[in-house]
Amino acid sequence: MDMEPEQSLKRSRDDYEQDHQQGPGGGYNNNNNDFDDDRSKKQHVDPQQELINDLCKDIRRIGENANISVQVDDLSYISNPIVAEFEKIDKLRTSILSTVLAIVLEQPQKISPLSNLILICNSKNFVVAKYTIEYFHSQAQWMLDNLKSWDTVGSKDSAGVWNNLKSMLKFLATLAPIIEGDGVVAIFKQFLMLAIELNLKLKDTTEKRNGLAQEIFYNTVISIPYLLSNELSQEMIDQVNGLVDMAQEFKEEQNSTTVLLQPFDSRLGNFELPYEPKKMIDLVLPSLLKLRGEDKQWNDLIGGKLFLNYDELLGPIIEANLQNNPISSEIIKHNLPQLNLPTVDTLLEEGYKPHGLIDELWFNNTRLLFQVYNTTEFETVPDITSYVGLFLRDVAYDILTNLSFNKNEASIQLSILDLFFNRELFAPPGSSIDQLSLIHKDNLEGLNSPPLSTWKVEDMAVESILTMIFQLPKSLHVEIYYYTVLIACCRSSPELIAPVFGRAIRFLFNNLETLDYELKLRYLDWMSVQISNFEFSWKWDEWVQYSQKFRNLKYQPKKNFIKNLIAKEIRLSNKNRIKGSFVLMRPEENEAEYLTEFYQYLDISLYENGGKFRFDYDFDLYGGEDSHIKELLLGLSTNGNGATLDNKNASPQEELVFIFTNSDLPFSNVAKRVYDFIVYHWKPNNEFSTLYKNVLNGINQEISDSQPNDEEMAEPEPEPEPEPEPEPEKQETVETETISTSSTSQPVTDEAAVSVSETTVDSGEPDVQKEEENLEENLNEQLPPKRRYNLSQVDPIKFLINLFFQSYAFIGSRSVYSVISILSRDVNKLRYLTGMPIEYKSENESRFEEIELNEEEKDNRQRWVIDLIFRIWIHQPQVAFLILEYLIEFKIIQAKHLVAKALSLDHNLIIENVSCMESINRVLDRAIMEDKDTEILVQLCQTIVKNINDIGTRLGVTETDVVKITKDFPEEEADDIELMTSIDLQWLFYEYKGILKTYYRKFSNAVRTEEFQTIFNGVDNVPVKEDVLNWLKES
Amino acid sequence: MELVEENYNHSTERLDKPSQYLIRKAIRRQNFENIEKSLNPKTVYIGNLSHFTTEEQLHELFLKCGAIDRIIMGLDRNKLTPCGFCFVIYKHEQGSLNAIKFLQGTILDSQNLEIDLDPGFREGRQFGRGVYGGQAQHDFAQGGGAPGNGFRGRGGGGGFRGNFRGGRGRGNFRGRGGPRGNFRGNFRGGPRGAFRGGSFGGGGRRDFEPHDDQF
Repeated sequence: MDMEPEQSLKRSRDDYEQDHQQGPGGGYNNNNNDFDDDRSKKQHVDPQQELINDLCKDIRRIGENANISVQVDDLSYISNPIVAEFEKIDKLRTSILSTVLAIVLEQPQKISPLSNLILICNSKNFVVAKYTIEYFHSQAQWMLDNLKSWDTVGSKDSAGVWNNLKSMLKFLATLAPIIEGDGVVAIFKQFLMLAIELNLKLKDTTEKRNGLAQEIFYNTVISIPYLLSNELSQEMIDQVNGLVDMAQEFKEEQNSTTVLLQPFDSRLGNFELPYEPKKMIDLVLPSLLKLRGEDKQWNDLIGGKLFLNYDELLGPIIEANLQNNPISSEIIKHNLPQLNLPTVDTLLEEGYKPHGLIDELWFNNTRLLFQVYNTTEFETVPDITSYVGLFLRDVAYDILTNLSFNKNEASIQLSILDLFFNRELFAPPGSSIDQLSLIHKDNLEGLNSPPLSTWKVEDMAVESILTMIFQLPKSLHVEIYYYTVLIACCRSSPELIAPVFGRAIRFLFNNLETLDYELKLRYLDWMSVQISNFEFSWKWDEWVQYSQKFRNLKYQPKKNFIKNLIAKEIRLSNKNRIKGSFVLMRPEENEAEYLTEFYQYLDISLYENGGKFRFDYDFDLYGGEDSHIKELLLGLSTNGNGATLDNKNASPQEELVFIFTNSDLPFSNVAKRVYDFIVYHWKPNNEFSTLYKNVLNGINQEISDSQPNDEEMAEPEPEPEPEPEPEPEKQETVETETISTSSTSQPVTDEAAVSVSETTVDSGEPDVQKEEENLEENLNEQLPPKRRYNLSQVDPIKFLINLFFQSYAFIGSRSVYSVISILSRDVNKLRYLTGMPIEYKSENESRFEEIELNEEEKDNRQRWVIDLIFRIWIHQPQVAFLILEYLIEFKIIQAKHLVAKALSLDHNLIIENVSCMESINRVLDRAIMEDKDTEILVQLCQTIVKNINDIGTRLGVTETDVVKITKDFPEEEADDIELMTSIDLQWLFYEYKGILKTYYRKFSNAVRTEEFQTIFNGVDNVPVKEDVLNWLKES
Repeated sequence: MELVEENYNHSTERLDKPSQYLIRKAIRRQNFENIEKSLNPKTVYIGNLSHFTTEEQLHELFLKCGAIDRIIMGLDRNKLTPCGFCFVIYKHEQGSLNAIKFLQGTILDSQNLEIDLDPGFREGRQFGRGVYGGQAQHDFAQGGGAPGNGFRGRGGGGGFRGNFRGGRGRGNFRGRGGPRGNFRGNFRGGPRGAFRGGSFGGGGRRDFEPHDDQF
């Protein structure tokens, strides 16, 4: 019984809460005193209320004491006021009853100690138990009666009626000793019958699977052992055996495949799966049969093998209570009537489907189990095919689902899950893998008799949470909830949990080649949030080899993951910080090694060599012909931004380059007018129309003036100028989004100007700040003759679109939301530019002068908008996509253009760039789920199929061959570009297939199956086509 | 007053309730209606930000709780630089409730975020039913359809306090601070420290120790 003091081993709630109070995570909202929140008002609390508070608080913490005998003493102790006041104080009774129910549903691991409390109370005053049983019965009945309206009656973030009935059933099962006759067993029978009949009925029809039948069956079967937790008579054992025999009538699901829902994909046999995923429904009954044993005596269960054995402690207390009980010295038993279950027919009625997170999961999909910790030679978590393995996971999922309103509590309960069950089940908490392998070794050598457990409660907790994160088709709660539960687990004892996480991270990294496309995103998301909460520390040195080996690959999953993980980290932090995290500490030598290999990923530009991209883009915009313009543009990007062209330390502001107003460039006068117009807080639509016309004329004029045969210099536009605005009013423009109340500031225009000046000052050009001062004069003056440029290739409309949108973007560039703010101010004006329908807010809103655009022209304009947004935020793709999402939301551009861009084979952004993947997910969710735009889904799937075909052609495989992935190659071939290109194509081929799977899984209900079938039939490669067509059979 | 009262419908407190700051403020001013009426459930206040944290970073993190309408940075009145707080306005109520529940205490730029419902007390804003989140449990005990209200007691009764809280030290009820008493190992030859020997000194780095792992 000795144990070294372990500072970090948190085993009690107080340890955890102390942590929360003092350590990180202790926000001021994070109050740990359940009820007496405000101590100052404590004196006002009514004594009855105080008693209720204290009692409920104690009940909430039931079973958390590691010492069982103290636990039972405590139960006996708190039973006194309950027994004494239960009938006298209405509020006490209702509060206790609802607290007990809440614990059963939200923390079902506490069912055994809770039932002990009821058993003790019953021996003192049977009324408590009577009420409790009646309460559970009536609540269960009430839930059943409200099945069909549960979406309005029930809580949105709870597991659902059927799942919650399971926990209530478990609780009633533990009360078997005080329930008359076979009351509980009868209810089990009811549920089993319902499941069997429901399943049979469905077998008659064409449906393959009835999720509800499966859930009811699973829930009932997994609860059966609770019947033997407190009642061990042979009669009960016989009855339980009867139930198990009855359960065998449930017909198993046909052997249908579950490829769509599997977390890993073999890429048509190119890889081995890390494990063969198993269906929960297939496991539950065999596991129970195994638990029952050949002799059907349940020897692996009874005697405290799973549930804690309280008999020795509880027996004498109950005995003594009965002696002192004036009413009866016998245990009083209570009536538990059967439940009024809905009929099979009502459940099959058109339109009934369960509500609630777990219920819906069962109903909609086959449930598979996710495994992480099956890589050691011994078990660190119970086997999923064993009853205990299923049972503990089930409890963990219930906790995670129903406790989502308090992530800290969920984390505590999962971390101490072992306390509520047989203490021999798990190795001592905090055992390291090294320690466990020693145990394992001793077990093998027979030194431990009986063998000791190598299960690790931390692994159990983390695997359960990861199962929820990686749940397909979607996670039950938003993923961030589960991330933060994991963070809370890790906070409580980092040095113990960190290695557990490390193993999970490595497992997923090692299997990236087969990991589902969507799950890769979740993995990226989880890991970035996780390490951002722990100083961004990760053993990056482990991954250097992959980065080096795959240096000339883009789409190899490991390489791609590293690049995108770093991009996501930067988005949560900054480049310098992340750069600093690429170190390998060598404590023994007291030095740090910098892992410079990863510095290349600090450039998160959308396209490789973002600076060059921008230059090419700009030069092209100015016609791509004139060498002087070329020099000017080069000067702008290498002088002003020279140091920062691809500088990993550039601030986001510095990374924006706005060139149009540079006086040496053509069209700068028009550009200044556009800039001034937009910077002004708001102008009527008709003025905008006029400006549009004038600008277009101005551009055309300057182009035609530049023609060699035209000797005359251009006249400035003859149209009346919009009034230039006095300085102070400009300042208000985008300031609306900040909380600042200062009226003397001019942040937007200032910063804009400063930034432009930075880009120009080194090349000795006049800075824009000064120019702005002169602007009023300039506009109305004849300009000095400029040099003649070759502008023959300039597309005036494209230039105009760029000019307008880039000006908006630059004026708002102080921050993302100031861009969005200025865009939202001028939604109609921007729609006017892109040819989207204008919605006038009122009769009074001034009208635009219409411009006639055909569809192609509209499409072109919108595509240009996407390109120019990429150009502006080339170094910050996440901002580019965010802005584009808003442009889509404002109906300035259509979603389909962005989707097409993402899927373009030029850059394969949807595979290469994490910001793009995330953005497209959001865009599609909104378009398909909210706006019911199914066309975009069809377009998406068709494009993917086309990409698969194109890549197949480029790979030169025949239609019947499986595309083979070159998994490994000798180091010396890493620079064989031809080979690398072909490997990249192999990966692209399968990544596109993975994307198709993800979106089909997600949106299969949005479009008719036949339509998908038609699209999928378009796949050239036969093995892929066959595989893809099989998905249609699964959903 | 209902807001600050416990309703016993859960096994532990909800994190998506108004903070103690707001409650205390309301108690002080005796205007609970204000909390109910004035809180805008789509807006959350975020405090304890580093002054260098950008809107983009906040967007990155808070987007994980739901679609964002906009972010308003709190700026220093004079310097116009971020001064450690902001408001995130979500498109839907669920986003702000998620933020309060899930991101409380999350670290951004080495700072523990403090998140609260918008304490702006601006007029005309609606207090959402969602502050307590799921309404079902509410309905459970209080709703007309729910049974369980029918238990009638005999009321009243004093003297229970001494009876319950009296002569017993409560110290050991949750006092599991001590080691768990089921250590059975014969494997821990040396001091425990040996297993964790690899931790980096001082820097607070989490170490994913290779010798603790099988990979």
